[in-house]
Amino acid sequence: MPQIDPSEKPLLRWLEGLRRNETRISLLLSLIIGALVGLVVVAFILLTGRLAARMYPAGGSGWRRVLVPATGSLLTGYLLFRYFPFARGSGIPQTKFALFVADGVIHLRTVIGKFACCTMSLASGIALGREGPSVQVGAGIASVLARRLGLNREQVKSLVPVGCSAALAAAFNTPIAAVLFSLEEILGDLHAPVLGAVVLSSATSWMVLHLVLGDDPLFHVPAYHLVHPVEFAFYAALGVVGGFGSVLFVQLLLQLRKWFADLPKQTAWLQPVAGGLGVGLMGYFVPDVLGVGYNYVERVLNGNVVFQAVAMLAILKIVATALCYASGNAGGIFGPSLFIGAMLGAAVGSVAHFFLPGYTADPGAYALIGMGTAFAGIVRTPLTSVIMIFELTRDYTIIVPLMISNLIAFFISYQLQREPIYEALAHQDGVHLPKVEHRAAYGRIRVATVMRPPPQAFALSTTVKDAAAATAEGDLEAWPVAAGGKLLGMISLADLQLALLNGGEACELHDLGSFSDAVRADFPHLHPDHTLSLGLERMGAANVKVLPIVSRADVRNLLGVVTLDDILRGLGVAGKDRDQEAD
Amino acid sequence: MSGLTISSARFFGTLVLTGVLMGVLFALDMFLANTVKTESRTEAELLFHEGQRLLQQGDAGHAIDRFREALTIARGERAYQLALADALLAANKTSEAAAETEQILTTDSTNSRANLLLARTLVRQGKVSQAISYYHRAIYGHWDSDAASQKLAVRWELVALLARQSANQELLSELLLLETEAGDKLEMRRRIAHLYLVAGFPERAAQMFRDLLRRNPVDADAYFGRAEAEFSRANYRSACSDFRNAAHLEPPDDDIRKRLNLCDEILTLDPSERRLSAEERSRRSLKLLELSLDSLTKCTAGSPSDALRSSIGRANQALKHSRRSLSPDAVESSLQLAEQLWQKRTKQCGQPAAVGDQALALVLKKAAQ
Repeated sequence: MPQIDPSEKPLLRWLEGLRRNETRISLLLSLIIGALVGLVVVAFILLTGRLAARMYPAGGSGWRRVLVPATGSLLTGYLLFRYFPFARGSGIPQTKFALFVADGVIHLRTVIGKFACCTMSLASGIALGREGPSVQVGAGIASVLARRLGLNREQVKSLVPVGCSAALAAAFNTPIAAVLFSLEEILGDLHAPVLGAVVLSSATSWMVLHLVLGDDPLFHVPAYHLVHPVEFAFYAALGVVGGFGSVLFVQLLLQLRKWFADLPKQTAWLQPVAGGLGVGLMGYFVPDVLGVGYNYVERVLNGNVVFQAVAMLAILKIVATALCYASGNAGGIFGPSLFIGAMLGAAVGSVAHFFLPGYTADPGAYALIGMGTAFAGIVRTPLTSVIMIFELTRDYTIIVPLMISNLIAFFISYQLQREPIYEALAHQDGVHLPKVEHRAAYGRIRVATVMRPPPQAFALSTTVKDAAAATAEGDLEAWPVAAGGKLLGMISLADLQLALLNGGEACELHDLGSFSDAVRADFPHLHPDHTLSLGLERMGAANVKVLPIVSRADVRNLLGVVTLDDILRGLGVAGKDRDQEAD
Repeated sequence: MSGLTISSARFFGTLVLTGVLMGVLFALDMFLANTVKTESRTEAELLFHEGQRLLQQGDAGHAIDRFREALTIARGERAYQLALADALLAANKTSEAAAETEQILTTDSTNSRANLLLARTLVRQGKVSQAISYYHRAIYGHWDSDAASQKLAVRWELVALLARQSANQELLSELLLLETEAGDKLEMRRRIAHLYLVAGFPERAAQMFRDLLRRNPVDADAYFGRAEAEFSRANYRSACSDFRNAAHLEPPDDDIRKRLNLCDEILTLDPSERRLSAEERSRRSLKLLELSLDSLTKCTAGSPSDALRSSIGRANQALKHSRRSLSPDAVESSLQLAEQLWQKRTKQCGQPAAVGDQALALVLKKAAQ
């Protein structure tokens, strides 16, 4: 292999050292991905906004509101069909597919296609959101960069959520919610080892957003305050309305999507026009149904509420978004779910305020809670929804009503629609993503459930020959060595066989060079409460197939051993059956 | 030491390429952001001007929509926020207007326009004492341009409010400040002089009108003003003279004519006028008693209460017995009785509307002093 000798160049030497240090690389790439994704998403937001302003100039004709989304969906429909098939839809199920099925691979073409098609689609007024596509673009950038840098499969996979959090932090201006969303929804594990990198990229992306666009929250909302404790009842009612509204939206979307999927494949490029035309016709009469509608949401949040208008918009947006998404347009449901929630909240708030004006806050406060409620019901990430609204308002007092309402909506949605929307969407495409609860269950299985009782430990004075003879009777590939009832470490069969080959039959175990490493204080081990996944990691790191299980109170107190097969069997994947083998 | 392999070169090459890409993206983002800002500013300005036009046409509802749209684009733009508050006030949405202006004041408590708007809103809500405080903040706060004339205008607005509220002490203090600012501005001094009358300080008003007449002896308004001042001080002869001068200078003015008639009526009734004979003084006092009795009788419509009947009886007795007496005591006694009857009449039927009764009331009031 051709080489450039860096020995005379300290910079190259330093760079080479950097490349070989995984921790440093992870840190560096978190920063780079955060900044790069932040810049791309900011460009996406600005381009979409400007193009939309061009499409819909002030005082434009009503027919424009029909023609533009129809034409936009026709154009993007063809591009998606012909060139970018993986850029269709939201982007979040696709990202999860890449992470759990495709080893973190998202192609550059998909990234470009997603960016271009969503820009056109959203600018033309399609009633979908920009957050989901941003997530896929962010994850794609991370994936492309990691592969281009020659990182291994695991490293590529670990950078996908890093890109997701960076994208969401920039797209929604909520860095903490972005981290939580990446962990809660994308990874399904709030304790994922990539937490640090995810936080770093989210913060970097958010800083880029602020550098370019300034310190301007997505929504300017008045200070929230609870007027009277009786309001908790209304917030609970909002949770119920939000829960049922969420289920209605998800069911309608899934049913419509199934109907479109059953149409002839040749019509796939034309199907998005149904969404574009549908939303255009609605927009002809009610312009606020077009696009993501954040401007209207802000007006509602600031108390500019008319019951009939918000109730009608909630229904129209549910239909418009379901139709646009199901027909195959590019765009997400993250933003529309907030719009729907705000309208439902404002409607409930209007009713509450009409009957008990002295005891209830302005309908805008209910719209704010409603946003989180619908998000919790539709996307099913209750923690993210609470933190997201908290970040949007920067108001701590909102937390309790928000939690009440969100949890009720989450519960109703869970009862009536067991499968979360992103998993259901993937399911419709024939992809079975690992369910969050299954991933969490795997993470919860402890070593104690699969460990074996401790085998007889060798003394340090045991000869290699005796030890080899004793180990031949068992199925373990390593055995404990103890002195005075205290574990010193493990001796492997390989070490014993090597000693025998070298004529060391009469040697005692403490004479073995390899064993001397084993008696170090930090010999590889597990505790009974450790998870099986940690057991796998430790075995991989130490390159062994057996680990001792020791007490947390005394690391020299041997409680048992666990083998690679035991762990694999515990996880429900391939592993030699001990009983079968014995037979 | 390992060498720099092709994979390493590719690694660092990618990093460099990424850095370049980030630089390009940053430049693109900044360009787009600036374009967006410029376009948004223009769009917001258009909406703002449209809102102002609608507001001037009296369409506050649609003006509010335009201002809100402008604010959605250019968040925190002070001029738009103020315009929105103004429109909300014009649409009588006082609580929303108050919320909007209070929001501005939380970040800019010395903003005079916001303070003024909040003062107007509070007036509309009937919270006058709070409104006065915000008027003062508006006067002493910060104006973006033309501060002196703006402050003056606000002080005039405050003065008008105080006059409406009959808050005479506060009104007087504002007028004194305005007088200092007025300098040689005749029109302003004229307004102030009129307001001194409203505030119940006719001496000061008379002095200012006198000063105005010194500068312009054919100033009908100043004659009228001084006449009112003298009238308030119960110097009816001087008042009548000034009313006459004013009527001479402004013949078709109905107000002046009415006031002159009243003044003349008072002069024909007033027993305290100088250079009256004892007989005339007695005649006038009896006339006052007679008029008071007549007014009371009419007011009670022929069915007076027992207490009133007794007073009426005493008055009739007095009229019979005092006809031939010219002594000062008899005059005084008649006047006292007339006053008592008048007070009862006022208590029973309220203040009179007819010119004759008004004159009677004023003469008796002067006599009581």
